[in-house]
Amino acid sequence: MKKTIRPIRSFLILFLILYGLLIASVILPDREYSSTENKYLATLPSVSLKSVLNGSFAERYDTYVSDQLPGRDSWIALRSVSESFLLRTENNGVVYGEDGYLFQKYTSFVEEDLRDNIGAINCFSSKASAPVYVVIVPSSYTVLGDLLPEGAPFADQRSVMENGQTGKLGSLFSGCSYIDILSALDRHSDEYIYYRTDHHWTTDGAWLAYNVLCTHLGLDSFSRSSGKAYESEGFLGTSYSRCRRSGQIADIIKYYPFDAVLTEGGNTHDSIYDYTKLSTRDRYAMFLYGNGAERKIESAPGAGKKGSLLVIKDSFADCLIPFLTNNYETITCIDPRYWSGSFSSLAAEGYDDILILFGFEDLAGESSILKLGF
Amino acid sequence: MSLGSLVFLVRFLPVSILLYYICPVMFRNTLLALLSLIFYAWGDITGLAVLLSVAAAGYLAAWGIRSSAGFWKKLILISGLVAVFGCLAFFKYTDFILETLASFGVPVSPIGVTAPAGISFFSFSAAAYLIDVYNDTSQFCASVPDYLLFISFFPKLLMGPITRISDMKDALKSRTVTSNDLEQGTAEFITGLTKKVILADGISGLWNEVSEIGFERSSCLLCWLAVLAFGLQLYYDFSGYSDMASGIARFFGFSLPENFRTPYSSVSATEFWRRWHISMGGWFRQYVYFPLGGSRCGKLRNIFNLFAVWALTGLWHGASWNFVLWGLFYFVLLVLEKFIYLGFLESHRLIGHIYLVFITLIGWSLFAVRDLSGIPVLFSRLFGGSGGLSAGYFLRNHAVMLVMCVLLCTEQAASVWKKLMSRRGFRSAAVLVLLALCLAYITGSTYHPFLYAQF
Repeated sequence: MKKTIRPIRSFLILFLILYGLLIASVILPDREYSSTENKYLATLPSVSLKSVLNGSFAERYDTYVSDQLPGRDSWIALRSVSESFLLRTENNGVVYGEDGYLFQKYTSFVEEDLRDNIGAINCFSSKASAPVYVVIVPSSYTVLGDLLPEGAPFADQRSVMENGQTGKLGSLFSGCSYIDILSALDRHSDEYIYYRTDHHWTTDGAWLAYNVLCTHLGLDSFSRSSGKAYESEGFLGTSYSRCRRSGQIADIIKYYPFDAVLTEGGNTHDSIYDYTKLSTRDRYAMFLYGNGAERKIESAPGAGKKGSLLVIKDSFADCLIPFLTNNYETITCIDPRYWSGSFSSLAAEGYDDILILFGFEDLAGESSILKLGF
Repeated sequence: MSLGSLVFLVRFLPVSILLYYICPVMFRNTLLALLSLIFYAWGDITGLAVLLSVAAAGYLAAWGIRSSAGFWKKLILISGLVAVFGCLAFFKYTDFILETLASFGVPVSPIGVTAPAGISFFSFSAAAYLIDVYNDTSQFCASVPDYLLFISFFPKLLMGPITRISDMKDALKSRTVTSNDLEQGTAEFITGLTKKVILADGISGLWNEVSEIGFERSSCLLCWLAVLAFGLQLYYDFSGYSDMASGIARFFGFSLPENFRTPYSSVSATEFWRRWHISMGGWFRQYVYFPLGGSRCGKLRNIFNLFAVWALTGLWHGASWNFVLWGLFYFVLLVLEKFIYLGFLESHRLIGHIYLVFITLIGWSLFAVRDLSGIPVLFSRLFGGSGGLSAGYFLRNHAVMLVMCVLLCTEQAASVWKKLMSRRGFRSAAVLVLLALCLAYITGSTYHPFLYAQF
């Protein structure tokens, strides 16, 4: 036996592994969901003459084999570990910055797309029956540029965003008030205002923008020292999910428990936070119950509070809006990525104020913002 | 189906090996031919009809050639070649021709023909077969399954090597698989898989990133780095695939011709083309250059022959003018070397190496940029453009991979690796470690997590 095996040992090793994986994938039950990847895995596709002839069966079977490869998570982890031996400064589109910061790579944007989206916002503003305020959130690398590896090829947002209303970005808006928050964020760039492992800003970063907004609108800003903040540790966000850097410092999510009722998709919740998300991977989704077409927030009337606010936004607004419950009795949040109603009708509705808040990357590339112009 | 895909590695290959070894010997060629057709149809089911048509044209014409003589024999050969090359020309070059005509104002537009996978490879095998049978009718392969297997043998079907009937004829009749074949095959297979999955895919990011950023925004050094990465990626991808093909063929008792022999260790373009994609170079030499008269004719005629071969070589690589330009670039170099300085390069090897690296990088710059208007942009950055995105960050990010790729493509590294892989203990350990890493990298490349909750 030994004499038969020894001469073909490496061949046997090769095929023992391949047959082992083949047999294991046949015997083991298919996994439905991968919490590591936050997605449902492909299941065995059904065969039909049509699907074989149009190639869709082969395509789906390829995905099935890779999704259901025995030990898939471990293979992915092994790649992550071996990549670290290559001393790379980035992985899977995420650049490793100093102090444990992960920056999602954003090398360029199309200026025409940026102008088109701003044009749509201007068009919406011209139809709006209430004053429109625009806040654009810079990406973390723009504010925390010192933490980037030298020469990392990131698009220059700063030169577009600086100089406030008279700057390149500010001067493109018309019929609305562009509120510059870059300078406020810059003044606090040494604080914890962006997550290390996620592309969003922290609750403190959002508060800085909220504070600027209040100054601009003549509202009383909620003082962070007047309310109790709660913290949830161990948050590993979207940037980490992409690169899975070993030894990564986790983030802390901070939130202030304001009294307000939130309605989303026909469900009414007695909190603006979905605490169940704190035990999942997608913890940022705790704010306003995560992404969705529409959220309506109602809070008790109070002294100095205004009536209604419409917020057209992306997910950056989710951790800022809770502060606004101190200033408005009702806040309606619309995310154009998921909302399919008429923005013209929305503009004509009787809100007291309208806030448009997007991250710069969405403003420069998210095509659903164009819907505001129709 | 790619040889480096999971569906091939953990489904098709083990199942094929199992079926092959339990199949009675007399049906093994039929089985392998059928498996090859399934392999092909898996990735390109519409192309299967083209593959079978080319194969059928080749078989019928060869049968006609064998059964006739004189004028009719020649006529059948020409008809067969017209059928095979006509198919290749229609599927690969129709849109290219129409686009070119349209650019000269002719009122035509592309009709959207897609070339079936591997058409350049299997068409060239079929054409070579016809000419070989014409020259020597004993090369005719009467058995349909044997012939079909020769044309469509799955390890070499999509990316070569381009085989001639003489490479496979004896093995098609009878073959034995020795333990040495299995071990040698395993060593070649794992070497090829590693080249493809870890090295080629690992260095490909550098070229892709710089192309995405735009050459006009990149510094001179960054553009050189990107072209270097492209050349390395192409080498490891292509030679890795050839190694895998050769290794898998050995598992079934076939020996495929060598396709790459550390080409970047050459000292001249002449030597480079004896060591890069050897089976294609051999095909053009045998079936174009020699019939035109080769070098056994006047100087001018010889230059014309080289021109024809290299214009066609360029076109063979793709239906785009940059490939023709790339082919003609090598034509000029080969003529200059042949008539002026080849001897100097061969006797001054260090200068030859530097020259070779420089000209191959220039060549890959022409090869990599399909859009002709992009070529002057890249060249203006390569030669003297100041400013642009610094290379520092990219160099740091890819440093280890770049150094590995540069060192491992040398003749010395290949020789050390071959020696190490000839040791049984090392080979077994290498297979275990490299297979695990390759599986990790292939699986990792399919890792695209959903970043938000699903709706």
